[in-house]
Amino acid sequence: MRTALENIQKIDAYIANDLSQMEMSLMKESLAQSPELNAIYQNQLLIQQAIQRKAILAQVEGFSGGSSLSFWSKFKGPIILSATLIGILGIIGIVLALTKSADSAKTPAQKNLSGDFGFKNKSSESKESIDSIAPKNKTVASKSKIINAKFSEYQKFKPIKPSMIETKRMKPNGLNTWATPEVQTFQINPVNTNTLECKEGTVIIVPANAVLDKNGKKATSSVSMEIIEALTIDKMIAYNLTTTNGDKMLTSGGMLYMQPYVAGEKGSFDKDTPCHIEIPTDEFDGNMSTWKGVVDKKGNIEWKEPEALENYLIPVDFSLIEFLPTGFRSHFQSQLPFENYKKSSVELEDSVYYSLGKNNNFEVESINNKTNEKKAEQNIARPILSQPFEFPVKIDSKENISTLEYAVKIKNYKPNMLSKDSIIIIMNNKKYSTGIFIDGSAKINLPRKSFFKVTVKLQTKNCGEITLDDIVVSADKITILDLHKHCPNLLENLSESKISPTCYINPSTIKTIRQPKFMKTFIATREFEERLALLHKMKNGEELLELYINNLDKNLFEIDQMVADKIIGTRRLIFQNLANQKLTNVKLDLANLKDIQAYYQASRLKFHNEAKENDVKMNAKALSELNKLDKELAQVQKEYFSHYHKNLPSQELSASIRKIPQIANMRPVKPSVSNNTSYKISWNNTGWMNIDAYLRILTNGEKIISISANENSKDERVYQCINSLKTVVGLTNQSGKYEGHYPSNTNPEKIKFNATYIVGISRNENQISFASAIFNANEVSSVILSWQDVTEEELLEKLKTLSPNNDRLAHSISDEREKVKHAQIFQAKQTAIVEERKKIIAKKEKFVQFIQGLINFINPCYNSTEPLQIMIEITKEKISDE
Amino acid sequence: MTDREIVSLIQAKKLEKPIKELYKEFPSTRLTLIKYGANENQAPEIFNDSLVLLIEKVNQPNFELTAKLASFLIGICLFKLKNLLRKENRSSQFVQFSDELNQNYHLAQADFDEEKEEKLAIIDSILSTIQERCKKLLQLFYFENKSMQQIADQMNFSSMQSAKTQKYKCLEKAHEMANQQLLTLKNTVS
Repeated sequence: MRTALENIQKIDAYIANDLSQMEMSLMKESLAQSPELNAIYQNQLLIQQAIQRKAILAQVEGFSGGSSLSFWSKFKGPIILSATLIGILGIIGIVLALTKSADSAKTPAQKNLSGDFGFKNKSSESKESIDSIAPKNKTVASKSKIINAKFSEYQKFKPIKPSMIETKRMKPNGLNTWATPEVQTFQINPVNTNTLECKEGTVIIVPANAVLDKNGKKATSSVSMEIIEALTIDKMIAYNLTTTNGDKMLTSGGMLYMQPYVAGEKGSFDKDTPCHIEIPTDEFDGNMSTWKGVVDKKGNIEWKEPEALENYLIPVDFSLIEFLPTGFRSHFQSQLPFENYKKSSVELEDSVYYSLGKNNNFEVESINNKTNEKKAEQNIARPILSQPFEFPVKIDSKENISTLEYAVKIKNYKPNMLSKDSIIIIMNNKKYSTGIFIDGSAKINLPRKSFFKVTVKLQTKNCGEITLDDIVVSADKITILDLHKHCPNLLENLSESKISPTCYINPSTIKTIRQPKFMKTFIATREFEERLALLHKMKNGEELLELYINNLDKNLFEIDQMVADKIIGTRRLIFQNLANQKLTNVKLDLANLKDIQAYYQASRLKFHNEAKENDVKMNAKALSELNKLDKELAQVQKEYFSHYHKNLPSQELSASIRKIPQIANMRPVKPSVSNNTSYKISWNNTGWMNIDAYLRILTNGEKIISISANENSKDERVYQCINSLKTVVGLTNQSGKYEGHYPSNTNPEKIKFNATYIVGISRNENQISFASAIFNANEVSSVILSWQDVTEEELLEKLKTLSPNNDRLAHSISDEREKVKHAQIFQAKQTAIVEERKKIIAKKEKFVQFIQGLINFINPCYNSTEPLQIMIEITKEKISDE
Repeated sequence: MTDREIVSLIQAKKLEKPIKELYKEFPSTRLTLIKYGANENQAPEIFNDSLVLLIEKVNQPNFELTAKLASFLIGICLFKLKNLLRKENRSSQFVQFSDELNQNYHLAQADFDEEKEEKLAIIDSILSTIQERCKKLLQLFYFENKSMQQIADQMNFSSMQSAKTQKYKCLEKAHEMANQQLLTLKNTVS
C-alpha cells in the first residue's frame, strides 16, 4: 500500500482512538517528530470538521425550508433579476437560462378542462428531438421557481407547495400507466386566487372562484387539487403517455394531469375563469398546440382536438407583480427603525415609495405636450461647429437689422455654479461682445456684419477663463462643456452641494399604472414586470416607460423594439433580445383603451400633485411649528427689549424682531450703573470737583453744612447725595469733619434741597459701619452722623430704603439686580425657544436625509460616474432693430 | 424554547427544532448584515454558515452556555461578515458596530481562529468538488457515525472492506488537494 494512504489510515485510526495503547503512544511520538505526518494529521482533522459542517449545513438548509428561510431565500427572486442587469456577459448567460424558464410564461395554456392534456408539436416533422428536451427540463424548472418567487407573493399570495406527494395506484382518466403515478396534492381555498408551484416547476394559477363542484356550482370550501406532471421523457414512458395522434408522431413540450376534488367528489373549472399554467421548457416553440388527452378502451392515450397556443399574455393579480425598483423594499427595511416606524410592511413600503414622487424633477404638464416640445426644438441653436466654438448664423437679407441679441444659457444651472460676475465673451472678427451671467444666463448683442466665426470664452471667478474650444457639437445637439476637465475646483464645490440629477421613474407614474384600470392590460403581466425592473435602472426609464404606457394596444415586442431603438449599449442588447421574444399582448378590449389613456394622464397628475401636496403639508407643519416658535421668541424679545429700550423707536424694534431667526441668540442688555445718567466722577480727593450743573447752582449762593466724622474709623467715606442732580458726591475729610456745599437760603434752587441726605460708610477690618442723615439743607448748619455696625446685606438694604424719593444710589443697585434677573429669565426663555427650534430643524433635516437616501437608492443618476457637465445653449432670443 | 432546551436537542443530534427556533433570529440579523455591508445574497449564506458554527460549538465536549445563543449567533454572523468584507477588499466600507453588536462580535471572535476558518473554507471547497459518492460515504462515516458495515450495506458496496478501501481513496484524494491548496494559501500569506 502507498505510504500516503497508509499514513492516512493510521491517522484516521489514531483520531478515532482505534489503536492499541502502544500504537497510540508510538503514533503520538511519530507526530511529534515528523512534520509531514503532523501535517496529514492536521489536514485530517480539518477534513473531518469540514465534512461535519457540510452535513450540518445541509440540515440547516433543509429544515429551515419550512420556516423563514424559504421566505427569504425566495425573496432572492428579484435579486436574481437585478443581477442580470449588472454586466453584459453575466446577463446574457443568466437571461438565457431564465428566458428558457420564462418562456414557460410565454407558453400559457388556458384550459377549462380537467383531465390531462399536453403541449405538442403539430407534426412529426419537427427537427427537435424528444431526447434533447428531457434532461434539461429539471434545471429549467428550478430556475422557473426562482423567477416566480416575488416578494409580494410571500406577503400575500405565497405559492402553495404540494401538501402531499405520493405514488398512488390510480388510473388518471382511465390511463394504464406502467409505473404508479406520482400525485401531488394541493389544498386550496377556492375563494382566493391560488398559485400552485409543482415539484417539476410547473406553476398553475387558479383564479378565485374558478373551481366548480360536481353540480357545476362554485366551490366555497377547501378543494384538493391532484396534479401529475410528466415533463420528462422517462415520466412520459412510465405513465404510458405516448406522443401520437393517429399515425403522426408528436413532440411534447410537457404533459400535465390536473383534477380538483370538492368534498371528495371530482370537480371542474369554470369556463369563464381559466387557469393560467406555466410549464417550463428549454426551447419555446411557437408551433406547439394544446391537445386534449383521450384515453381509449385499452387504457392508451390519444391526443385530440389540437388548439393553437393562445399566444396572449396573461394578466395576473397585481399583488403578484413587483412594481417597485428591485431591492427598494429590503433597502427600506434595513433603514428601520426610523422615527415611529419600527417594522416594515408592504403597504408602508409602497406608501413611502410613492411619496418620493414629489422629488422627481419632471413636470407632468409638459410631458406629452407636443406643442411645448416643438417650441423647445425651435429654440435650440443653429448648428454649432467645434474648434473653436463657432456658429455660423444665417440672416435673412430682407431684414433690416444690424444686431442680433443672443441668450447664452447654462442648462441645469444650479446656484453657486458660477460666481455672479462670470462673463461670457464672444469674439467675433477681433471684436468682443460680452454678457454677464445672471442666474446662469447671459445676453449678448452680436453685430450682424462679418458674421463668420465666433469664439466663445467663459470667464469665471471660480476657475478663471475657460475657452470653449474643445467641445464637440453636431447639428442638432446642444453644446456640452465638460467642466470637470476645465475646473476641478468647481466640480468639487458642486459635489459638495450634492447635486445628483434625478432621473428615476416617477413613483407617481408607478402608482398610476398600478390602479385597477390597468389590471387587464399587459401592465399586469409578469413579462411587463421584467421590463419594468430594467427600466427602473435606466436613466431615461421614465421616457421609455411612457412608450409602454402610451402603446398598450401594441404588442409587447413592438414596444421592446421601440425602446431598443432609442437606447445604446448593453441595455439595447437586452431590449433587442426581449423584442426577439416576439411577445404579444393581452386580450385587450380596445374600446376601453381610450378610457385607460385618459385615466392615466389624469391620475398620474393627480398622484403627482398628491405627493407634492403631502410634502407641502409636511413642510407646512414644520414651518408652522417654526413660525409659532418665532412668534414666541419675538414676543419674549419684544417684551424684554421694549422694557429696556424704551427709547428704541417702535419701527426699529419691530424690524429687529423680524430678523429673529438670524438674531435668535440676542444678548440681553448688560445692566450697569454706568448706564445711569451719573457723572461718574469721584469727588473725594480735592474738595470740590467741577460738576458743572451743581457748580452753576452754587454760584448763585452757597451754604456750608458741617458733617461729623467717625473718629474710630480709618477707612471712611461720606457721601453728599444730591438727589435732584442724580449725583453722589464723595466728601473729603478735613480735620475730622466734612463739609457739604448746598445752595444758600437766598439761592433760587434751595427748595430742591429740602430733603437731602448724607451717607457715611466706614470699614474697620471686616466690619462695616453705616451712618445716614436726612435733613433739610435750608434749615440745618451741621449734621452729626450716628454710626452703627452693619453687614453687607444690611448696608445694601439700608441704602435701598434710605430714600423713598427715587434715590439713585440705592436704586441703581436695585435696578442692576432687577436687570440681571430679567436678563437671566429672558436668556433662559430665549435659549429654550432656540433649542426647540434647533430640534425641529434637526428632525426635519434627518427626515430629509432619510428620504434623500431612499431617492439615491432608486435614482440611476445618483453618483453618476459620468463627468459633471454644463450644457451651454445658445438661442436666438430676439432680433432688435438699431 | 429556552437556550438550554436548544442546547440539549443539538447535543442529542436532533437539529430540526433548534434550527427552526434559531431561524427566528434571521429577519433581524439579515437587516443588520445588510446594514453593515452584506448584500441580499450574502446575508442568508452568512446566517446559515454561522448557524452551522454555532451548532458545532454547542457540540464541543467542553461547551458551556455562558451567553445567550442568539447573541452568540449574531456575533458569529458579524465575525463572518467582517472576514467577508476583508476578502472582498471592502474593509474600508466597514462601519463600527454598535456597542451591543460589538459585544456580540467579540464574544464570537474570541471563539474562532481566523486562520483555521480560512483553511476550513478551502477544505469545504475541495469537498464540494469530490465525487458525490465519496461525499456521501465520508458524511455517513464522520457525521452520522455509521459503521463501515452499515455504509457498505446502505451504499451497495460488495463488502465492508471495499467500502473501507473506497473511504481511504476518497480521503487520499481530499488530502492531495488539501496539501496543494493549503500550501498555496501558506505561500500567499507569507
